[in-house]
Amino acid sequence: MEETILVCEDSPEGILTAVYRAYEWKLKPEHTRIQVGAADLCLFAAYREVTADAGVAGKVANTVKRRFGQDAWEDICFALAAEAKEKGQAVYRTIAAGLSGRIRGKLMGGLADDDIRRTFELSRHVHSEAHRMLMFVRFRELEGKLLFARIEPDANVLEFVMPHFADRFPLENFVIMDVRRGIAGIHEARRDWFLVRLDREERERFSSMALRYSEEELEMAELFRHFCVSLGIRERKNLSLQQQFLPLKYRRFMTEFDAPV
Amino acid sequence: MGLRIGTGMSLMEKLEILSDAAKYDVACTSSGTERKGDGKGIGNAVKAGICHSFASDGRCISLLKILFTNECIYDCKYCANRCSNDVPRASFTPEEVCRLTIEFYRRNYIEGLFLSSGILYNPTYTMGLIYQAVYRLRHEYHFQGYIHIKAIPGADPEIIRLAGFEADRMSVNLELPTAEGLSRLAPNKHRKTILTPMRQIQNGITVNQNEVALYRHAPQFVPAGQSTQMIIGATPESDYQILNVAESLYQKFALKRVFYSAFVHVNEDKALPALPGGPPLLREHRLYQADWLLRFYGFEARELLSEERPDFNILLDPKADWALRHLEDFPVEINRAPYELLLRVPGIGVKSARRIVQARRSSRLDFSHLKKIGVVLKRALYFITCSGKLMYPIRLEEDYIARQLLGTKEKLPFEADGVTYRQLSLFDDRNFVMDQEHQMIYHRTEQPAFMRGASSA
Repeated sequence: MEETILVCEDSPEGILTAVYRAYEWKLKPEHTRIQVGAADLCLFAAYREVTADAGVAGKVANTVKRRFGQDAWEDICFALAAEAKEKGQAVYRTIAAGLSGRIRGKLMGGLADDDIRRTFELSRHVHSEAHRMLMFVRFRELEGKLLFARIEPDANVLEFVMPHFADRFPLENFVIMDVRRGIAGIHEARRDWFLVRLDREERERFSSMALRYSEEELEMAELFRHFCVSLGIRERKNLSLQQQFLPLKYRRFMTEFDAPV
Repeated sequence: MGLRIGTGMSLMEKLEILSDAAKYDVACTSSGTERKGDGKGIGNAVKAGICHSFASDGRCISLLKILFTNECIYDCKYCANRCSNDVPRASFTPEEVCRLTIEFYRRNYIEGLFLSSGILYNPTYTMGLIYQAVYRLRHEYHFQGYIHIKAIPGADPEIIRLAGFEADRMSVNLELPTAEGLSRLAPNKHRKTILTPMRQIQNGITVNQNEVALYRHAPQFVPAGQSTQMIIGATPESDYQILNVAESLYQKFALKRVFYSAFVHVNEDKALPALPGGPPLLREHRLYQADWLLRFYGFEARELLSEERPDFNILLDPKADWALRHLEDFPVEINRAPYELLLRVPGIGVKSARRIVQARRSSRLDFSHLKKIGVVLKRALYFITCSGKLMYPIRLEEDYIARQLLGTKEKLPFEADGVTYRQLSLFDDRNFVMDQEHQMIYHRTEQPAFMRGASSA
């Protein structure tokens, strides 16, 4: 039978909408694929464009939560934030496997199923990168006591990172900017946080802003750099172990790896 | 000790001296407390803890780990800050500790404060200084992040109790595994004065848990539990003795963690052993592996070691070593074996055992599934069957499996940076010595079977 390929935009809403349409149009999961973004075309397949619709995406989300529990929903959310293009397909087939009723116990426990395992792996990967951001985000204090951080994660994890810092620093004004995606999480003291997509002009403004450190900033950065150096035990020196825990790609915006001023 | 040297120092100088002096303390975990911010201060705590950076030795930097002062009235032979050493001395003020903590925390450098101290004047006075600093941090700066403090042995129990209500975790260092070692290397410390506050904190936690169960908003006493640490390799205890001490600390004192610290030579002293191979890192590693087996894998110390075999195998990790000596329990059937038995298979950890138990509810697992689930098959394949079949036709024979396991090189955290396994192993095992021809000979009362096999080959 001919395959049907649903093409959707690269966002959680887009993918979940495609899942909804697949059921609405009574497509068989084994002959249906969800493709995120425009990609290579297949000759013997029918393509259908799906426009993201927050309403129907919400319905799918509710079904997932109701049928498979909050844990499974969180895993799917993480998987949907991954960089990998096959995430749409993995999530779709995971939901289909769950609805078919052949997985006993927790949905995400059915790791013998290839699609569930793929979703699980994506979720774990994104989850661990989000956790790494909690570890490695470094704020710089700018003029006016504003805290400003830049990150460039592989997956789109900013929305998982913001709640942590909003809870941690309720009285601070802070901004975390994902320089790879051009989005920023903004938190104003005593307010809720929100995400914004930055246009080119704003990106430049943010980047130039990042250099106007407050007076205390240089002192604290210098103190922390010395602290990190003096904490290492010479007799146990092990740079490869350090690099295993703290990969080079995360060091670009980390204060302790700045060249000494 | 009447003179207070270095009061005119800059914050930078103080931080350098007092973080350098604190670096030998191992515990840098920020786990055990889950606390949301209350929206009026700064900080929260995450159950699993968060590391923030990693030092050049690969150890994590999670907390602002500092001494309040490195002045000390004691003369412990292994310690860089002993009173007979001529090192620069410095002391923070409570204000400086608070400022550093808050400013580092705001920038997400750290997860909280780890405050220890040398003994200034007397234990009670020192504990008072620590209490003062953390009290200000909690109540003037409204800091809700993680705080780990030392309970100073010999301090007034009342001040330890008060401090316990401000801290997440408290620790009392056991320093050395046996009372005999302690009296030799730390003449001013006594086993009894160390265990007293440990017991006090344990009882405090139990009482407080009942209070919190009854009154949800009762102040929490040391909610992340207490920990301790022992120095490994400064005194001649065997691994068996050390592991037994750890086990009884877990059972009798309900400790959250016992940390092992490979002895680092900082002082020249005739009472200390010479360690030409550097700190006994492999020994420390084996102890941590065994510690995990005690806490998460349902092992007991006497299963892993005994009076006759008092030290860990340097070539095999404790679990593989145990499995080899208990081949009668294997192979284990993956699709049926209880969780507890899966945990005992080399190559299967807590996570993969859980995943197996989950996944086999929906479908029969075979070896390809196991690989994807995260089982380390090259280690596990000798000990498991899937639907009654071994992965390859193999002999369940101790010598044979031991040789195979040695062939799959164990990944050790400290093999890189040009340090070879051999160099380390010589001094890590107390029974390995060199003879005149510089050949290794193995001095054990009982040679493991695979070693016998290897030497005759």
